[in-house]
Amino acid sequence: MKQSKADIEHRLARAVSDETPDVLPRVLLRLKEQKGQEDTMDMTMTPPKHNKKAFKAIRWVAAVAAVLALAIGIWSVSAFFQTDSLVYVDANPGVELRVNRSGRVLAAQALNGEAQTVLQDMDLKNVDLNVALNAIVGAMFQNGYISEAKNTVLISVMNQDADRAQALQTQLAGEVGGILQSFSLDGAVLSQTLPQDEQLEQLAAQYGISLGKAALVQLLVNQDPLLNFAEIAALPVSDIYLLLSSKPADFGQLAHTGQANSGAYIGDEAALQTALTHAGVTQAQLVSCHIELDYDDGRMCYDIEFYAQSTEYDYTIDAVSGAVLEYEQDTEDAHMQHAGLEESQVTFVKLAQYEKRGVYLYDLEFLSDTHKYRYEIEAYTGEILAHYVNELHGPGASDGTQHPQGGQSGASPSQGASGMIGESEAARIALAHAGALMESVTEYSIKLDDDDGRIVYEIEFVHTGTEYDYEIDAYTGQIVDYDFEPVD
Amino acid sequence: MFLLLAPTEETHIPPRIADNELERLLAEIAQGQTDALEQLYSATKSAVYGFAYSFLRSPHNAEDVMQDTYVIIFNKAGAYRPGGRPMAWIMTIVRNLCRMKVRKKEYAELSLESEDKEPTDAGFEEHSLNKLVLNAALRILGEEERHILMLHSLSGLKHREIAKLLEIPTGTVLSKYHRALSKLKNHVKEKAQ
Repeated sequence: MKQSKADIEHRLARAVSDETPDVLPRVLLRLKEQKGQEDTMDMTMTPPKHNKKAFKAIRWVAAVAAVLALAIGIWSVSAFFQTDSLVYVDANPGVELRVNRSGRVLAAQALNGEAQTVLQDMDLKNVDLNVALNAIVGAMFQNGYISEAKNTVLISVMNQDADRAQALQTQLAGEVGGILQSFSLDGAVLSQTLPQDEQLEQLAAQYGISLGKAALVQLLVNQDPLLNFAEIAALPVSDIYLLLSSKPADFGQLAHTGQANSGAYIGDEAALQTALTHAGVTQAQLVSCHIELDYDDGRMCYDIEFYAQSTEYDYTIDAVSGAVLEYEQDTEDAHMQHAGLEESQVTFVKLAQYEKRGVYLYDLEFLSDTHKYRYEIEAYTGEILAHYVNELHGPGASDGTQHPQGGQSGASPSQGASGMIGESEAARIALAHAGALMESVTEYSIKLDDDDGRIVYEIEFVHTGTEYDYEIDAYTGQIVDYDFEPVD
Repeated sequence: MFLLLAPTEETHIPPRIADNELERLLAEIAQGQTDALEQLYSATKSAVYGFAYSFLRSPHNAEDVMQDTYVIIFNKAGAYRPGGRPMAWIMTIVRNLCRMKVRKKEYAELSLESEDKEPTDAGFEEHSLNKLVLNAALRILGEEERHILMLHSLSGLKHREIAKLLEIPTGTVLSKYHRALSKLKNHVKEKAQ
């Protein structure tokens, strides 16, 4: 039997399907064991075998932390010198502040080169936290790390006492908001409390960013697994906020006030217009569209998908320059081939899109000179699920799905101008051969196919526990091939 | 010979499942509902297995990855945010697990199974032809061609999503996809004659 490309794909899928083992029992068993052990180890995107490594790392970090704690304990003479909270201030510079119970800064550390620029000549020891914050944010602004375009500051608080952490977070976020306003900036403030998380600490250390920023990056990356940690960690906080805002993202316990500024970028509308112009589609022809800011290949871009006239378009537009980086279009023309028509021969009537029993469908209607066609097409694969053909009213026209009224020349009224025998006739031949009646078969389907140059009707149905497959020559009615196997 | 065939009711591909249906299941899984996991498993198992199999070319290792994938899905379902593409999320997990496995050099090379020695009966012809296509895919296609075809035929991902998943340009995906199909089609034509 000759194969078409779609057949190859279907066969591949069937073969894999047949071979797919059933691992569900083992999965459920593992989950049960996992629950039983009350495994508190974080199951990240590493297989369980990696837990050994993580465990080792945890022990190492714990050891270091213990030494550190001991050192601090020895060093601190009184509670005054004891770090009560850790506060991180991030824009693109990242600063870590150690704060004591009374809200005074014990130490300030620059976590990257930009932060060093910000903190130079600043002695923040024993300074009130609010004053320190003013100084730091002010310096960031003066050095251009905070601006109209990069308008977002992230405040992260870590404190053993959750209530105190929360209170501090709210207080500082408000403080920073006020500072930004005093610069006449339309700023945005993100704030969060940080949990004790060794994994996060490792990531922060690995990429040279603050713990607070690491948590923010993690938040974004968790929601879009196609982004990777490394590339996002390099972005300024305002861009990360922009990406989060562009998705329907869940901010979780990240508090946010103010809008992410997209001033550096051309904006959704402009990007869409570029794409439409490029595709030669007008706004009126648009059926649906979806725009999202994305980070791909080292740059910010707009990811645009839209649908117009039974064609799906995919565009990637550079967010800064507005250039078309990538585009793709996918026309559902399977139905045209199926109907044996060219685009120029049909008038497009309507397109609907809906879900039916868990499957997303396109419902497409169009007209040729002689017939009206309706197709139900599976949205993911383009597979034709059902089709209906009706002759348009005219002399001798009939419903294409009725049985032939018998004709001397073998041509039936349901035959189109194409000279084919028609579906009803093909069905009759197949059913007669199988010794079945239309009323008694189930899962009946019929479609036209091109079997290497020969047009055939492919007919499938189930009859008395057996599945039949027929190929009937569309012009002569000859049975080209048939096949049957018991239904499992 | 790989005998662990699950008792399937159908020899056809399971029906494609819609995005919001998958998302609903993920939300339930995040609450710890294992029956939702079972449903998600049913709907996605072939896609997951197919991709892992394509990557590792060993049924044994593919099975391992398959198991790990669903355990991770169960544990991380809460991290998935609605409005995205659940299938892409799932396949990314599979991809990452496969890469780790390869890195750890735990995979064994595929020991090419001999062709099925099924009796050539009308009913079995279909089955062995399907298997022929699968074996051919594993043997004669390039690595990327194989992944692309496997993903496209089983997971419902679009070309551009496949490109993102495999971290190659979309244009490459399109050309390799068609080339892969042509290669297989020609190969099968020869064999079937």
